[in-house]
Amino acid sequence: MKDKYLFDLLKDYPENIPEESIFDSPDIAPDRIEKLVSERISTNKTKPKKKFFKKMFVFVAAAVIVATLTGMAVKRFLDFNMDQPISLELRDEIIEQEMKDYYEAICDELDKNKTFGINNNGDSPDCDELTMDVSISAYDSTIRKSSERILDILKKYDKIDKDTKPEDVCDTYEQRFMVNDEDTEKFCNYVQICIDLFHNGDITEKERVYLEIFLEKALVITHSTQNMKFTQDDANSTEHTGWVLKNKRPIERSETGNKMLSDTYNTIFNTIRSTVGINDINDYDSIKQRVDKARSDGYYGYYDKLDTEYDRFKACLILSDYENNYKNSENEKFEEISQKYYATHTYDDALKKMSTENDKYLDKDTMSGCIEAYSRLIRNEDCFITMQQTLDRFNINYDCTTDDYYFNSDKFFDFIFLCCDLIKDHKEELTDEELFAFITISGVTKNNMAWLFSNSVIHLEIENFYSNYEYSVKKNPKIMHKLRKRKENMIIKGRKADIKAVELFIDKQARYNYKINFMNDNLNPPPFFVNLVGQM
Amino acid sequence: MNESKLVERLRRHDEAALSDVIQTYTRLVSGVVYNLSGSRLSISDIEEITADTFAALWFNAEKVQEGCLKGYLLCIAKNKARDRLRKIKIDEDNDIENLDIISEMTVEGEIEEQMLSDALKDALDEIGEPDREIMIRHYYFCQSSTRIAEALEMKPKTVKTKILRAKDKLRKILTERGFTL
Repeated sequence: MKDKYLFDLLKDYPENIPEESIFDSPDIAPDRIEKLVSERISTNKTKPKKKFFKKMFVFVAAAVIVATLTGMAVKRFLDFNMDQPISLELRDEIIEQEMKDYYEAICDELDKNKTFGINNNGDSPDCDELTMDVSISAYDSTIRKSSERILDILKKYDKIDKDTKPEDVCDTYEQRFMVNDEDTEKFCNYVQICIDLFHNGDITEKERVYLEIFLEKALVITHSTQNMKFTQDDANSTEHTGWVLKNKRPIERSETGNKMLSDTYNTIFNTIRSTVGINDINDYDSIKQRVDKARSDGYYGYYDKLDTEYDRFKACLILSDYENNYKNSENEKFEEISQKYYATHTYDDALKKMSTENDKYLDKDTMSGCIEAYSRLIRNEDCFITMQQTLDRFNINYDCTTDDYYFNSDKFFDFIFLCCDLIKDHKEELTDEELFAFITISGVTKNNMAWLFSNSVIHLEIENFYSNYEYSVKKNPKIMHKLRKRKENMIIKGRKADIKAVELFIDKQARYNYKINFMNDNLNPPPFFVNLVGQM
Repeated sequence: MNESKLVERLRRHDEAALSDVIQTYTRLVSGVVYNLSGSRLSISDIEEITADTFAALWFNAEKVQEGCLKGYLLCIAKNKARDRLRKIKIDEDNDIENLDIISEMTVEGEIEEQMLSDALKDALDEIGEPDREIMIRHYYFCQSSTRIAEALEMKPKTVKTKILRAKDKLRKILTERGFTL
């Protein structure tokens, strides 16, 4: 009750006292008071907002301060780990140089072996083995070159003995497999020396970039290797190809060795994570994708600069090697055409080989989609045609027992071109599924004819005319999604692919589409297309 | 005007109700403020305090008890006037004594306040007229002893004496009923 006056407690108005005798105040108009009250009420309504903004301001200011402090702490932490930022331009330049080295190494390998594609038994090896042999040798020499570059840096700063060789630190292709604890320890120690120099060394920026690129590779290697099992049975098996086959050494690494690799992986990650651009140490896929992207950027950046068709063909092989996981396993035709092309250096032989192939078949879903879409479009043009008539028209045979479509090669091209015309002229009328079917038919098919279209000889030809095109599929997220889904299906089937490969695939479709535009625009076609069209 | 309906409309934030209240009680509120401040507050200050009082009513309408609208308004008005006087460092008119009977008892909350209010009303009734009216005019409406004397045709000195005696009577009655003043 303190500070409260007693008579203020009188809540009931004493009625028996005449008001006029109480008040002799100046005349204050109720209207004037009403206006003042109205102002107060309207002002007071904004008060909560002011409070809100004030609170928000305080909150935001506090958040900024906290974020700044946190950021400073993080930055200090990162600074501790990464020392100084890497020049991305210099990094790109060095990666491109590495790719160029790799390309030249592949050319050297190709030139060394004129019987390219023919193994010692005189048989044609499959394409995987073919490209793998070349690329392994090329990669081996390339990696040795880059390993020696790192060794030179370490020697320059007295971090290792002057006579150290790549194999002494297990930084060669063969020994990188790290099949036992001894090799693993060598490699991990070597990586630690590189990290120490990366952190603390007074080195040039270029040397720092070289070290970082090496550490990126080491990151992928340590991760992928630590849980890899390769038994003696595996080593004796003929199923393993590529670099696994080349090693032929079962893994004898113990848990201690695996732990060493795991620790090294974590150490490398903390060293370069800011440049890798991710923070989750377990997000191996992102790391690898990041590293692969840098590689592929180097590949394709260099590829675009090639001038001669011969160089481009060899580069195409390299690209095929890079995309090896994406390729259809049934790529014998590619292999044959590649050999033919390589032997003759002409398109004609390759074309002859292609056009004289007998029946081809496409997977039923793709074929059905194309035919149905075609029939529907034809009907829309008042040219009623049944499914069977469509099949007949293009000499396509449907085998109900295998549920496959077979058709003559000439008619196949006829059908392909017609489909492409339909895509071009009736694109808006096609459903996503139909458009997808048309796109797929020129890309991923069982017999690889269409795959050839976009990947090898013909691709090179089309490449000459490829410029300034636009193709709606690139802008169609639904199609992109479908292709990505297809990619996932391929992964399920054991074919590893990445988004980059899928995007390249789409890119190739667009290049193929250019051919159609080119034909319709009556430009001067190359001899290849003249011949091809003449056969229709 | 039905006060209970008015209060109910105020609680619903009926602006027309507020307008009605202002039109009805502006004279009352501004008069009490004037009486409390004497000549020490300007007309503008009185207008401000009066407006503040009605604005406070608007924002606290739910607190107004039934039948207590006028009392509530005057209570707010007097507190605001006192605050204003404190701010301009002017002591309140000695003629309008604070009736230094701020309760020292331990009662808290509305129930206790209501008990004291009832006891005060009873006590006022017990002291009889004209003491009751003088006390109400002086302490409730903040009228000066001079103005009370004019209204009741008494000498100002007589009014002051009656106020002192009535205050003693009230204190005695309330103390007997358990209130420490």
